[in-house]
Amino acid sequence: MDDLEFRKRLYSDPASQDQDMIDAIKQDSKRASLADELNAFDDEILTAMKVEVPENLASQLILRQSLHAHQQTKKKSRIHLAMAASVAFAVGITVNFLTASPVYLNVADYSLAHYHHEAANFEKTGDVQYSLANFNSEMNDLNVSFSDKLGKLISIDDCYFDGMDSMHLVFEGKYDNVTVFIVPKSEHLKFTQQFNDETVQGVARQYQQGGVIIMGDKKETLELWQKKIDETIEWSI
Amino acid sequence: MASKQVRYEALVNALHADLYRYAYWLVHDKHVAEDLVQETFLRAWRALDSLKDQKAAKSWLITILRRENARRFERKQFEMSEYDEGATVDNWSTSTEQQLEDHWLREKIAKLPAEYREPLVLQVIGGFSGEEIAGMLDLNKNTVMTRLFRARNQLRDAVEQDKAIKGRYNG
Repeated sequence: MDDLEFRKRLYSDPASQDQDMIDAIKQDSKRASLADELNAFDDEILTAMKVEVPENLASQLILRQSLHAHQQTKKKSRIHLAMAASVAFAVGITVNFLTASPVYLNVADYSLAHYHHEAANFEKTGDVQYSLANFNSEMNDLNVSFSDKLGKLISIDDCYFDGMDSMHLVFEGKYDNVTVFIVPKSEHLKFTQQFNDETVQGVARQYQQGGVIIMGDKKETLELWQKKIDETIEWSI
Repeated sequence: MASKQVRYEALVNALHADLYRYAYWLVHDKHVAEDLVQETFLRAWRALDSLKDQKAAKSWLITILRRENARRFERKQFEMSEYDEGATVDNWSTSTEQQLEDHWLREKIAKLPAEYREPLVLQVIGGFSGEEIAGMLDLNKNTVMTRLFRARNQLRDAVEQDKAIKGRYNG
């Protein structure tokens, strides 16, 4: 190794542990003293470079990180809360949709389904004592009233007619009970004037403010019921 | 979580001083250096899981810090402040001989071209080898060794010059 090369190597890394550098220093006292000088100089450089570190820098770094992490956690929990809320909302919408959304496209199908579903709940005969005023007050929500009693009442109840708040009336008929649904104006159900299946028949009439569906035994003369209702029904809006 | 916290705190305690000094010599401003170190450690915290080799932690942090510094320049395109004497030396009156000596050398180090100073800081403070510095600065090793040689050479020349001037005054 010539002097120039030695100098270059020494200046670029005075603390070099390369074997040829160690050997070169050992073999030549001039080189050894230059190496000592350079190493001492490096110590000076190191001391000079060690500028004062701001007090508490380490604790500040730790503090800032933990505040940051804390905020992240808060943000995350907010996100989780928001996610939970979204899921709950979606579930709510879905349940609402499944229970309240129209499944049937026409009055006939739905009426038959509803009728058969509840048929077993009603007696064939009955005569609930009621006043016309009481009877009409039950209909308030539908904005409908009757000017006369329709017949012997077996049952009167609110019902959920394909997602619409409706009235479910059951009267005594000649052969079997007669069911009357009074429903609000519906956008999605198509009114069929007459319908039937194996056991029951039905008639439906659409008024401007709502509809009336009458169902009963196949032998029953539903037209009479329809006529009676037609004559006595009063829509208030 | 807890162990990540422990690792992080260990990292801060072991390396914050070196990192701060490196930042200081990079930007010559105490406050900017401190901000850089803060940003660097925040990023380090977020990416701590990606640090597999604890031995590589220092060069990893320096790489983050250099990137942060580059971002800083993209954000505000202001001129890097010149070496600010006031920022290095606080109390002239209470300075010892050694502090004056340090101050003198600091000025010389600060006046080195940045491309010579940076590898020197990495070697002297960081204790990195030529290869490691080359990796961090994305240079080849020969270039790094040449710059290290020039850095020390210029500093030595400055010392010699100073001695010569002093000598003249004394003589």
